[in-house]
Amino acid sequence: MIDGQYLLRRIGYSGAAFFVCVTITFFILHLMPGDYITNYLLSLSNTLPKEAVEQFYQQYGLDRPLPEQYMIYILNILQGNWGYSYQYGLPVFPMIMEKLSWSLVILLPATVTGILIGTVLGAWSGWKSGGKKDLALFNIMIVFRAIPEFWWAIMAVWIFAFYLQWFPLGGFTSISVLTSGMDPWDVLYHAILPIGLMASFIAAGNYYVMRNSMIAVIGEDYITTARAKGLDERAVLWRHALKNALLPMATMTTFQIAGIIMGNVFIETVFSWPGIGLLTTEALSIRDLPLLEGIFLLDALMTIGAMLTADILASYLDPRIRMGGHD
Amino acid sequence: MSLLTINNLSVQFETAGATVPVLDRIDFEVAAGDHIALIGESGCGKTVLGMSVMRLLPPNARITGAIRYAGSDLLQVAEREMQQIRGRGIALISQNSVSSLNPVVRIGDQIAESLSLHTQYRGDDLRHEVIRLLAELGIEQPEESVQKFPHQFSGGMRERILVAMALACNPDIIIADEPTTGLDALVKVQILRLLKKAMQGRTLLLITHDLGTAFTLASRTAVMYAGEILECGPTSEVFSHPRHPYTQGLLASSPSAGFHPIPGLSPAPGQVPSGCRFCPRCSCAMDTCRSLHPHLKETGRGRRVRCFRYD
Amino acid sequence: MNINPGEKKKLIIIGGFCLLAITALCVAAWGTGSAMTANKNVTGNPQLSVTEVIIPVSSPSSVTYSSSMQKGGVPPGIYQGLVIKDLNGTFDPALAESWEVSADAKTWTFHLAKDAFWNDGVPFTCSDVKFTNDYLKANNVTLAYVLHDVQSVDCPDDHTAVFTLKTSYSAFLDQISRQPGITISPRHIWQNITDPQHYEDTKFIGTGPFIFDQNTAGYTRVLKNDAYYGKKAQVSGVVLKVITNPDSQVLALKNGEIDVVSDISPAVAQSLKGEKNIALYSINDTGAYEVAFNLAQYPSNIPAFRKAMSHAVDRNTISSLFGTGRPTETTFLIPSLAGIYVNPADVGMYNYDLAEAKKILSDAGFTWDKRGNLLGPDGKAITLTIPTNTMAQTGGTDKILSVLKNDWGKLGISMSTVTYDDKKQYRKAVNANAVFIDSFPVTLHDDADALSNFAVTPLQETNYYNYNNPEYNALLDEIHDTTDQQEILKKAYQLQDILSRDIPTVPVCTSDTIVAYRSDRFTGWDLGPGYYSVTDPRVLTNLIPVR
Repeated sequence: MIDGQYLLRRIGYSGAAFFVCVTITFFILHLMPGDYITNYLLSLSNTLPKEAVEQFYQQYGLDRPLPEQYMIYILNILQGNWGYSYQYGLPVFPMIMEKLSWSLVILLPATVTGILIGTVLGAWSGWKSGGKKDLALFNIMIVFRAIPEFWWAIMAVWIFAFYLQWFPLGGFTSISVLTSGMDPWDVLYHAILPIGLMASFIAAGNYYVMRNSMIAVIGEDYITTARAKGLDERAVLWRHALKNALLPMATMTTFQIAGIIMGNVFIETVFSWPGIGLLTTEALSIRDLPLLEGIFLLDALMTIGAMLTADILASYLDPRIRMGGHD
Repeated sequence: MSLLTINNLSVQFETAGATVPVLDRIDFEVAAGDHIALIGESGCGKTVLGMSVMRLLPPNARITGAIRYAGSDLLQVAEREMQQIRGRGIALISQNSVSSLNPVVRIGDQIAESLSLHTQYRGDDLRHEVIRLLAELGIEQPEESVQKFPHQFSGGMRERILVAMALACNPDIIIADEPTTGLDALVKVQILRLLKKAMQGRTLLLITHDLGTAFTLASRTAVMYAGEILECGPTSEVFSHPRHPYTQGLLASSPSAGFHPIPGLSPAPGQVPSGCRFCPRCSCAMDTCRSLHPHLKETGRGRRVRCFRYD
Repeated sequence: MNINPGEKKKLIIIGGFCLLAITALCVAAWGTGSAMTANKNVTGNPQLSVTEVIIPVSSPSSVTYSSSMQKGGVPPGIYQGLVIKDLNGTFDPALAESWEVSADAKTWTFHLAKDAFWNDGVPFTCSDVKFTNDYLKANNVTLAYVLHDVQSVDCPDDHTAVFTLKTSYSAFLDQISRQPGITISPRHIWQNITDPQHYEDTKFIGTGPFIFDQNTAGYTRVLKNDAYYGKKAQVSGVVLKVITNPDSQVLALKNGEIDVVSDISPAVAQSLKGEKNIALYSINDTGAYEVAFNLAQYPSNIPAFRKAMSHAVDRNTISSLFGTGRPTETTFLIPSLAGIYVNPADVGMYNYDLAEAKKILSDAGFTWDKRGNLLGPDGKAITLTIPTNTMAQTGGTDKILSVLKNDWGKLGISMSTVTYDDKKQYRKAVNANAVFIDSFPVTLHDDADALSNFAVTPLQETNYYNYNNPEYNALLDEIHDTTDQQEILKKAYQLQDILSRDIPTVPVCTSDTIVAYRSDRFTGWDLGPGYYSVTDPRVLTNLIPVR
C-alpha cells in the first residue's frame, strides 16, 4: 500500500538522485581521456592542426572552465535542450529516440517473451525441483549460459541464416525496401532471429531467479498449510506458491525493462541492427560527448523511474510492504 | 472405538548416500473424542508422525506400515482421495503461526479455501461462515478481518486464525503441531484455554515438547524418544507417576520442577544405540539395557512402558 | 472460493495496465521506426536493377546520416573536388579540367569543367568554388583548416578559379585532394544556411558520377548520373548495405547478397580461394609500418643509438609474419607509390645486422654488464616502454614487437609495451617515450610532400618524432616555394639523405588490402595500387556488369 504524501517525497528523492546521476555522468564523461576532435582529425591524417582543434573547442564551449560548462549544460537540459551530436551535427534527443525505437523492435518483444518463458520454466522447474525433468532442464540451462552469448549468436546466424537460409543474415529490411518501401512483415522477418536469441538469453537469466525463488517458497510452512487443507498440487502452486515466488521477480523484471534503453550491443552488432547499443559504443569510441550525455541521461531517467515503479509494484504485490504512513 | 490406528509405522529419510530412520515401528491408536499428546524433545520424530498421518512428508521419506482411518489405509489411498481427507477428515494446525499463513493472501480467503473445497458454502454463505468462524475464535471485528493480511495480526490472533482454518470443515481429527510456540506466556494461556474449549467433543492429536500444554489439553499422553514411544497412558497418571526414567527426567527438567536437565543429548537420527535407546543417558541403566532392545509392555491401568525395569 | 472480489479486479487492472503500456511502446516504436522511410528522395521509384553494385559498410553512421557539409557519412561518387590524386604524384582532373601554377607556387589557376551540372540542374561555376572557401571559413567548419593557406579565391569568369595562397605551396594540389581534402559544395543549397554544423542535408546535391537516391533502413543508394560530364558509370547504381559484423559480410558475399568485401584477413582470403563465383585481388602497399624514435627522449636523442637500432630491425622476418605486404628498405618513401621520388642512394641502407648494431653502440660509449644488459653512456641500463595504439592495425604492431623484443633483447635492451585505446592518450605516451611503433596509410608516404611529416611548419609546430632540423625545414620550404619538377626531385633526394643520416624513423614494411568480390556480377574492381577503397568513384565507374 502506498501513502500519497510519501509517494511525493519519494518522487522528490528520485529527482535528486537523477541530478546526482547527471552530474556524475557529466564529470566522468568530461574527464575521460581523449576528445572527439583529436580522434576525428587524427583519423583523417597524421597532422593535428592546432587552429582546427582550438576552433572546435571554442565552438562547443570546451575551452571554458569545467564548472562553467557544467552550469551551461544543466541550464540547457532544464530547458529541454540536449545539445547536438559532434559527429552527426544533429539534435541528440530525436537521434536517440530513433535508434531507441529500433532497439525496442527487438528488445521489447524479446524481453517480454523472455521474462514470460523464463518465469514459467523457472516456476515449473522449481516446483518440480529435484525431479528428473527439473534436473534435465536445469542442466540444459547451465550449458546454455556457460557458452558466451556471442557464440550462440554467431552459430544461429551460421545455421539458420547461412546454411538453412530460413532467416536473413542481418539488417532490418530486405533490399527491396529501396523500391517498395518498408514492409512491416519484412522487418518482422528480419527481427525473428535476433528476437528469438535475445528472448532465450533473457529467459535463461530469469529461469534461475524464478527457480531459486520457487524452491525457497515451496519449503515455506504456508505451503504445508495449504496442502493440509486438502488443496491439490495445482491449486497450491497457483494460489500460494506462485504469488510468493513472483515477488523477487517483479523487481528484477522492472529493471530488465528499464535496461532495454541501453540496447544490446552484441545482438545489434551481429545482426547489423542499428539500435541504441551500437550508437552508444560508437559515441563512446569517438567521444561524442553530447550524444553520450543524452544517452546516459535517458538511462538515468529510466532506471530511476524503474526503481520507483518497482517499489510501487512491490507494495501492491506484497501487502507486507508499506510505503510510508503508519499502521 | 478407534478412529485412527497406526500400525508398525516406520519412516526413513533417504539423503545423499544414507538412509536415516526417523520413526521405528510405531503402534498407536486414537479413539474418537480422545485428546492425545505426543511429547518429546525436538528431533524425536513426533512432528514426522503427525505429518505421516497427513501424508505431507517430503518426497524423500520412505514410509512403511499402515495408518488406518475411516476404513482405509492412508498410506495406500490415492492422492486424490487423500486430498479429500486432508482438511475435512484430518485437519492440521501448523507449527509456526508466523510462517504458516500465506503472507500475500487475505486471511478470509485462506480460511474460505478449505470451506469451498470441502463444504457446500458458496458466495455470501461462505463469507458469513468465515466471519462466524473468526468470531467464534475470538477475532475482533471479524467482518473487517477477512480483508486483512496475516502481517496485520498479532501472534495470538494468527494462532486463532490457524485454529479457525483447521476447525472450518469440522474435521474428525485435528492434529495440532506445537500450537503455542512463539507466543508469550499470557497469550499462550489464552490460546490454551481457547483450544481446550474448541476441542470439546473433538478428537485431538497434540504434538508438543511443552509439558504444560500437554497436561492442559490432553487426556492421554505418549512420550516419544529417538523415533519410539517409550511410555504412554492417561495424562494424569503419566505426569504424576512417570514410569520410564526418560519421562521422569523430562518432568524433572521442566522449570516448575526445578529445572534438572537430563544429562547428555538425544541421539542423532540414524545413530541410535543398539540396546535401549535411552540407555546412555539413563541413570539406572542395567547390562541388559545396553545389549537388548526393550518392548513396549502393558503395565496396567491403560499404561504401557518400554523399559526392562518393568519386565 | 474468492470472497474478496476486489482482489481479482486489482489484478486485472494491473495486468491491463501492463499490456496497455507494452502496446503503447510497440506502437510508438513502430511509428518512429517507419517514419524513417520518409527520408527518401522523390525522384520516382526506379526498379532495383541487377546492375546495381551492393557494397557493405561496417557502420550505420556512414550512411544513415548526412551530417553537416564536408563531414563523413556522405555516400560515394556524389561530391567532387577540383582534382583527384592519382598514382606517382600526378593528379587526375575532376571539377578542374586543367590547371596551372605561378612560378612562385602562390597563384593556382583552375580551368573548370564547362559541362558540369549539379544534380538538380543548376550549372556548376566558379562561384561554387569561391563559395566553398569563403563559407567554410566564415562558418568555422572544422575542415576549413585544409584551406588554411588560401588567401582568396577569385573568379575571372564562370569557368576559371584562381586561388591566391598566403605563402608559396607547391604541394597545394596534394593538400586539397588528399584525405581529408576539400570537395566543392553547391552554393545555391548552402548559401541560405547559417548553421551548417547543425544542418541535416538530406538531398546531397553533387556533381559526381552518381546521384543520391535514398537513405532507407540500413541501405543507401546512389544512381548513375547520366548527365555526368566525365567518364560515366556502367553500373546503374551503387547500394551501400550496413553489415556491422565482418563475419556476416563474408557470409553475405558467399550468399551473393553483396558484391564485394574489402579488407579481409589473409586467413579469410585463404578460405575463400576456390569458392565458386568469388574472386580475390590484393591492393599492394595500402598501409605501412615504422619503428620510430622520439628524439626528445633518452636514449633516442643519441644519434648512434638510432643508427644502431636501424640495423636491428629484421624486416624480412616481420613481413613474412604479416602474410601480405613486403619489407621496405627505403629511408622513407614507399617505392611502389612514390616512384621516382625515392632516392636510390638511400635504399637498403638499414640492413639487418645485429653485430654492426652492437659495434655502433659500443663505439658510442654504450657498455654491457655481466648479465648482458645494455648500459647507456651514463652507466645505467637501457629499458624501453613502447606505446601502441589499439585504433591502429594492432595485429601488425604486435608482430613487429614480437620480433623486436627478441632482437633487441639480444642487444641487452629490455622492452615492455603499453597499449592505449585513445588517440590523444597514445600521442601523449609517444611524446613521453623514446621509441614507438606506428602504422599509417601509405598516402602519407607517397610523394615528396609527404616528407613534410618530419618538418616543423607553421601549421605543424611539432611532429611525432620531435625532429626539428632547420636545414630540413628550410629545404622543405624551398620545395613548397617552387613548381619546378627537377628542383623538387633534387630537393626531395636531399631531404631523404638528411633523413637517412638523422634517422628519426626506421621504415619496416608495408601491408596489403585483400578484396574479395563476386566474379559473376561485376568486373573491373582491381585498378592497381593506390585504389585502396572499393567506394573510390574511379573504381565504381570502372565496374562492368557481367552479362
